Amino acid sequence: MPLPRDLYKQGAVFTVSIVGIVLLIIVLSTPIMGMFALGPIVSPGGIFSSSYGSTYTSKTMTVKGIGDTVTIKRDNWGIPHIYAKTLEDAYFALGYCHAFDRLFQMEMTARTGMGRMSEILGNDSLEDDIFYHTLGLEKVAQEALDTYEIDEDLDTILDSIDAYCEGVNYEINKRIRTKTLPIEFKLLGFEPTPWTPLKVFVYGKLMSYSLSYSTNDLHATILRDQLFNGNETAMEDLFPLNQTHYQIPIVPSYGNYSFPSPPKKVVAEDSQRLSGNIEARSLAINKILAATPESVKLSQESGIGSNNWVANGTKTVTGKPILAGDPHLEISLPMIWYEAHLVASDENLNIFGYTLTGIPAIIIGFNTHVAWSMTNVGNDACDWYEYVWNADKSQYWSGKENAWKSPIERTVNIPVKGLGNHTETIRYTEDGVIMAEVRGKTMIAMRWTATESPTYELKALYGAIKATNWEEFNDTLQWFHDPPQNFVFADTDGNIALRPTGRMVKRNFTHGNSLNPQGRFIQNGSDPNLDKDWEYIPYYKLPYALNPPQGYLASANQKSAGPDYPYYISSYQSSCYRGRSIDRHLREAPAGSIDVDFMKDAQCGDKGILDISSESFTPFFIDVMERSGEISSGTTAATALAELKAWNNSNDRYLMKKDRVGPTIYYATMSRFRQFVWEDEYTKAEISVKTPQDEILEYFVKEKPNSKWFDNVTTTTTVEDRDDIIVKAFFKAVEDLENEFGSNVDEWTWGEYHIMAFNHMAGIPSFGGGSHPHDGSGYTLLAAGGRRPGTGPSERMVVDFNNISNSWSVLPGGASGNPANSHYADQALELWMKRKYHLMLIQYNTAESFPKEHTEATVTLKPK
Amino acid sequence: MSEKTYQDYLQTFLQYRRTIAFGLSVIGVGVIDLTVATYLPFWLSPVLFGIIAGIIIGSAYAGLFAALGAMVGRLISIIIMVLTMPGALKTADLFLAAIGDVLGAPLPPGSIIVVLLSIIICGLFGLLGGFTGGSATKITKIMLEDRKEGN
Repeated sequence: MPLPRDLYKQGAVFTVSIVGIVLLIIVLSTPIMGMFALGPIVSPGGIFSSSYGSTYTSKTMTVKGIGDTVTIKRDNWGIPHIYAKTLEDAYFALGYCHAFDRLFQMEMTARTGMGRMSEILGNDSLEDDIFYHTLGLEKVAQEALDTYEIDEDLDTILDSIDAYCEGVNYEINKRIRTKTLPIEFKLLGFEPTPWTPLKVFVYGKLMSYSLSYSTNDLHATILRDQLFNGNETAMEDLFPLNQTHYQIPIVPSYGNYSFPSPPKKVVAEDSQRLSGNIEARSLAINKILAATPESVKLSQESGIGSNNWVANGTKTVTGKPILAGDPHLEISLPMIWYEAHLVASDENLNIFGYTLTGIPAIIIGFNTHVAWSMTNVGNDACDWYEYVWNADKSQYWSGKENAWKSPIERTVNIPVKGLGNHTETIRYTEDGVIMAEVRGKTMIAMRWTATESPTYELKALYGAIKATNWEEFNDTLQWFHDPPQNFVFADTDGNIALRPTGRMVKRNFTHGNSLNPQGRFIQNGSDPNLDKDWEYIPYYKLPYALNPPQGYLASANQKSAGPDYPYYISSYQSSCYRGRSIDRHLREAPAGSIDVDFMKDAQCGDKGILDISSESFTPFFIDVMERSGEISSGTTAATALAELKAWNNSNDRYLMKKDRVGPTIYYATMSRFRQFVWEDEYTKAEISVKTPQDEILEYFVKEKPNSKWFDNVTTTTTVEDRDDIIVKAFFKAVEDLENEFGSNVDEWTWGEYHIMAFNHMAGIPSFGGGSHPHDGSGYTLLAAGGRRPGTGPSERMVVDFNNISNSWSVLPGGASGNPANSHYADQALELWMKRKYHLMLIQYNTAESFPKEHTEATVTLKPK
Repeated sequence: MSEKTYQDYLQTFLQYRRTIAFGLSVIGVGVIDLTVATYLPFWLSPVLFGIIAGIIIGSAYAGLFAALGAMVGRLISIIIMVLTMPGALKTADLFLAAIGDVLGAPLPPGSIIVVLLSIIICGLFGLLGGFTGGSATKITKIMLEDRKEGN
């Protein structure tokens, strides 16, 4: 008997349904554009669950890994105030808070340093991963960790690191288990990996990379070989080894220079001669520069820097020191810093400061005895060498051994999403890692203090939080190796100090010997006469100032020491303008006049937006234009000049205010002026290299108006001078502004021209904080370089030792990394942009004393 | 007496089987969404309750009731989630905006699209689950009847 027809029909329905379910599951489980799958993400465990962390709620949790109860008070800005008995428990809680608020940031930063971004982003990130593996950040981090593990003195630090990692992993495991990972993980379709002590150390090395890795020697080599053709005078004119024009060194004449000078060896000039040809080397250099990931290009090109200063009792109203600091780093959301208040009652510790999410340490901050902040030294931390290859490139000629030598090889496997493992062989010479080949005949290797041997920054910072006076602080600073930093210091005893600190190579050359100093250019590693010995300037011989008679100290990444200082630190430190600005404010403040408001004003008020470069150049621009006779009345140029004059004669002169037109005209003219002075010479360079700093230009404008550098070498019939170039620059700037904003000069306000954007760290516009007209410039204390500043004061801190509870802070971001959290960018938009601060609340040293009106939520961690 | 009562219950069940199937889908999907859904595959609960609805109703059109039930269950669970999880809608808004960023074409703002997608997908699985359960039941019934007739 045949089966009933209905059975076929139902069978078909059944089959189609099953197939439909399977197909639908496959389609909805397939990642869209290699990222998220639609099915899971719109289901209950999907995107809605990522709202976890968008608010702070009070709760009690039982956790493994702590010895006693820990209370976390979230204040009105979402900042955690952690109350524990021991530092280990406090660090567990800090790890938990970091992961709760910033898990995506932590994971991405660790992946960057460890060269594992292509595992989640695919082949596009492979070049960057190879670059980080070549630098060897993970390798040296592992070496540092190994050193910590065998040194019994460091056991307590390792215990704290372990406790911190447990706190992070507690939160990671919970988020994975409950599918409440931050939205970015769900968008990109991956999960965080466990936090380990290795990641803590990698994070530290990544900071070294941001702040001390340097390609300056490559630029210098191009300048010497292609622009100046070995002309020593030209090199010294534009890139003096010991820049003195308008400099106010961090440690000028009052430093401790009383130690005996070491014997100075002058390197033979022959040692500097490279065997490869200039064009081929230029291509190799370009390859190295192009391989540098964007984040560092940004930091190097936009003049990443920082300010810190301190005034002692002779200068302040209260007779007690006030310390201020604002490190300038890339501005993105979430911000790199994470504010935290840690109390460890059994250890009598009460610290407020700025942590990096991923590291159990207060990097910048204060306890009830001492305060400190940092700026980058910018010392010459990298040496570059060129070596000769043999025919099959299996060996290089070692100058040290005067023989062929095989490079040491290290193989790394880099997982690439969708492509399996990529294997990369990293090769090392006796003087560092091979970075590029020069047409297969020679190669360039790099040696860097950060990867030379294990460093001990965590030991230094652990000492810093426990220090109670200058002696203890000074003692612990000797362990801070890389990146070298200028530490500003104040304590309750009334001491103030400033100390450039870190591993800085003792270079064997004398000042003024521009063309053949050790380590300024790419050096010939195959030359047996080359002195490649590296030893560091001893800590006690680094420049420092303690309680100077002037009553204040300041640093803004400028020259570290005065001309008497016997060692070379760098010839490429930051421009002098921020340093001159803060020095003037502090010097001109009468005795007994400085208070907290003064410090805030200098950081981001009117004092903070004074542009000394504008003060130096604007009067010349006006004077030259008026004398030129080339301005016709009624033209846009005439109106623009009138606006520039009005600004120059107003009370707002040289203040880069967003509602003024003068700053725009100055900035546009200065940009064109700089371009017209240097571009004719620079066309000889095949790649983009550094131009001289503006103080060099200022020197020529003021002292040498007929300098050959003003002459446009491409015009053979005329010889241009300063005034010719200024006139040309002014008219071109007016034309630029007219093209962009129209001929109504009133609309050329600085705020229209100079716009600050708060971008999300992964570049997702919807997670950004918008674009805003912004005050300041690259040369103001409120640092905001370029037309679209990407870097700036990454935190501002003012600590008052007369009344520790009158200490203030602000971030250009917020506590949370969750874009749906009201504390994601609240400080940026409600405080930072409006030049305001919040109190740090360090005075509440017990959870019970923390006021209800400041409490948004209380989380209690109980030991399991 | 008891025989009669059983018949009554059966009669009532058969009379209200569509409502029961619908209700089970609503409650099942809703409760699972709010409890253990994060630990289960995203498709499991609507398919499972669709099949159950299909078995109860006993024909393929059970899929319609199962789909409707799953959609209502998902809607209720989302409403409860939104009410109890601050920031859930804002997170969904941000998600959609971020997809717009990736696509290079701004999507209309509103978590409503995410909610609708969630409900539609849930309904689709419910529908197919209902078809599966209903047709399977029907096939079984036909085969049993066929066997009863001695074939």
